[in-house]
Amino acid sequence: MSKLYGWVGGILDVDLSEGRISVVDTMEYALKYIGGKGLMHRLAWERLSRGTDPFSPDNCLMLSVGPLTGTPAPTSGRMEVGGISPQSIPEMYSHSGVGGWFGAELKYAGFDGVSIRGMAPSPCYLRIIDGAAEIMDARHLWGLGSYATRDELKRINGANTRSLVIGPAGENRSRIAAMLTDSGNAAGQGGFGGVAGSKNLKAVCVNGSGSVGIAHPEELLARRSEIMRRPTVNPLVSDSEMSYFGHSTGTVPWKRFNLSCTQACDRFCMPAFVDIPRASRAGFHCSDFACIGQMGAGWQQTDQFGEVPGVEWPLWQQNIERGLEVVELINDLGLNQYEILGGMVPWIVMSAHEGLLSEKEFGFQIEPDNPHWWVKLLNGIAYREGFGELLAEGTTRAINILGKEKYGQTIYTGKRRFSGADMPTPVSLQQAWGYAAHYSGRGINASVPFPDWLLRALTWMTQSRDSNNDTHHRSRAEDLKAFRAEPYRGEYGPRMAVWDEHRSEIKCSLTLCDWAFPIAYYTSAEAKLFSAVTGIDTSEEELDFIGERLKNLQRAVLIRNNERTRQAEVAEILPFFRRPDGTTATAIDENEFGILVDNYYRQRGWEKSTGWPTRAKYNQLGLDDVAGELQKLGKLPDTGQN
Amino acid sequence: MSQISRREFIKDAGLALGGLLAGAGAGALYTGQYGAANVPEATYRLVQLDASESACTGCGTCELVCAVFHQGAAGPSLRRIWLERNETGLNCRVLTCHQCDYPACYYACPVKGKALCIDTATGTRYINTAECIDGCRKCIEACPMEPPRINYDPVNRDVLMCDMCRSRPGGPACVEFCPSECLKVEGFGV
Repeated sequence: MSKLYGWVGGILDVDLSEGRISVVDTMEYALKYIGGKGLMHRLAWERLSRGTDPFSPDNCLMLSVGPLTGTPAPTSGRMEVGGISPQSIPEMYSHSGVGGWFGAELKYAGFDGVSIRGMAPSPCYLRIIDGAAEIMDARHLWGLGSYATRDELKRINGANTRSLVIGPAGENRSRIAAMLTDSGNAAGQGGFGGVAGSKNLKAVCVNGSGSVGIAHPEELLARRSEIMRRPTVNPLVSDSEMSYFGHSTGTVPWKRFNLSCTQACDRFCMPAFVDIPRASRAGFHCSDFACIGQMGAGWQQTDQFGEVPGVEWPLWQQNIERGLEVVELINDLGLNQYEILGGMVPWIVMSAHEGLLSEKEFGFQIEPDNPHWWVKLLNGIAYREGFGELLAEGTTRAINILGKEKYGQTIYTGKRRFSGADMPTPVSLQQAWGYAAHYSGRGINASVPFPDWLLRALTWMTQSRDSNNDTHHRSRAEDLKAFRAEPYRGEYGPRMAVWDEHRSEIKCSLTLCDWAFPIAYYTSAEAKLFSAVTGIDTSEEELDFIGERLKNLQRAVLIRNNERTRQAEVAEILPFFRRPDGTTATAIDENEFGILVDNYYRQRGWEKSTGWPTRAKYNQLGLDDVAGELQKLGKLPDTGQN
Repeated sequence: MSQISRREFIKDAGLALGGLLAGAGAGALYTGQYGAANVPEATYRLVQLDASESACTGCGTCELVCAVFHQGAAGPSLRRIWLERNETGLNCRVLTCHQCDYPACYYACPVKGKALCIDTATGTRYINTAECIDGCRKCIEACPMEPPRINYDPVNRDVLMCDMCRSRPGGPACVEFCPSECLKVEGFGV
């Protein structure tokens, strides 16, 4: 075999029921599906059949990295986690990205991915060291929090051991359980911690001393240099709204801010530089701001809503120090932070405010300004105690069980001011595919105005998770301007949605940070990095073509396994967008949205009435075998050419 | 450690080691370019800035670009600089070769002057892997720093030590690519 660049050779195939471990050659997949999310799409197509229960041994827990992972390509230390998600409604194939160092270490140990199926007879962990893997006894780790598990794995296997672990929430098969790396990064959405728990898998740990070959080292360094901008404005004297400098002076006994959250990050890591006078700083190459990391510590503050001062809002009055305590506990228990802080707690607190939930149902008084309340709540969820038994199923399932009519649709009638006007706000922020609203004009982060949230509506339809699940929508400023001029009928909306979707597939397959890419003013960056690392000279357009293949493959999995159709998708997202938005009280125009969807499907080469890709589209993308299987199932659209 | 005593520390360490070697009749071991008395001092070395000037964010870019510039690949066995990442605080440390006044690595090398070399113009201590005896690793054992600032690549059986990127026109890659600009080349005796 010729020398590999970028990829390192093998995908670990683990069956915990049989205790069997084998290795699949990465290159059977790599050229067509790259890695990361793309590789998982293909493995999902091959391995996750219709009707698989997420907690059954038949589900696969997949970890996947790409050709850039472990190299100096900026922000490349990321990994994708996937499988049938217990958090999604219906349960379906989904994914969650995670930063940190685990992905790179996996490459240094010689693997581009791991697929774990089956269920171990007793608690175990998977130990991967330099080209070999072993299933280890984890009975002594079962019950530990995620931090203690990490520390114990380091004690047993060496200080350089990288790990991906679950906490008590995962062990108890919570549908909102996360998997956490040793550096505190989480694959939060999707409930994959619960999947690991159902397999009796407490952790995966890895130790690698190998390397990732780079085809054109000088070229790679030159591209990295090009991407890193060096603005001369001192961020400490800028008045960025996203900074939290004013909030933290304190005496927090543990880390106040995160360090750079993934290997090879070149981003402006604002929180880490508080009070450090500097003249220049690299980074700033996101279109909006440099990094989500700076929000990680304090985003549960009420000013996330972007209101004017004096707002009345029945949520808890967090501050950054108290917010951190909550975040640390969520991580230690192995829960999904976004679900809890962005969906569940706002729902609980607003339901209490509206008289829908009281101590009677809840079991104890709802008082989010009391720290003891949080400890009780979070432990209850992780250990499935009391009302926590219900909440461990995730907010949407809890609402469905309690009664959607009563608990899901009520509008909070108190004051919520935005730009001087009172805004109605729904109690339930749970909308599509079982997830909390995510920066789409309504819900906890409601500041996206019309028509920008229309693009979120469009891309949310075909997803299996929350909207914006590979970061917020990205587009070139000039395109956005043209879109805003003619939002429903113009050609720019569909075009931008498609571009954003393809780039999402690509960045999560290479792997690059979903916050950092694509770079609006340097859209060929991904292709150049890919070419330099792998030696496969690839243009931006060629990479976009692969992105299209991956998007269609993911769609094929959902069509085959989950009966996805246009009708089902539109019906899933519309209730959310029928509500007035949080900035100008604008609701979606359903008829006009139909035209936008028509145009989007046309642009994609999908049949209009079903929303299914045509055989011609699959064939064009080199997915002939996928088309063949879908045809047998009657899931190719009738275009007269099948 | 930034202002106070790094240099003094190195000097002290050098003296102590020198004393040991002298006591063991070390003079007889010198077969290389320089004897203990006349080894030139290095002109430059890498230092991490004090946190009041710039803080390391712990991204590990220094390690990666180091490996890629020198070895054309990235991995823990290929780097010549080490990030000591503090997951629970902000004080990450970058561990670099000190370009010691008394280069114990040089004296320990059985083929000193060929494998472990000293640049005649800059005094930079570096390793010429082509002349290195596979797997001897005496330089690593001799390094007074903990952990040793010389890496070992088990695949190619090479020892790897910071050479200040002496063949790179732009100077050390780690300094150029550090996103937080927390590394710099410091001149000795300047």
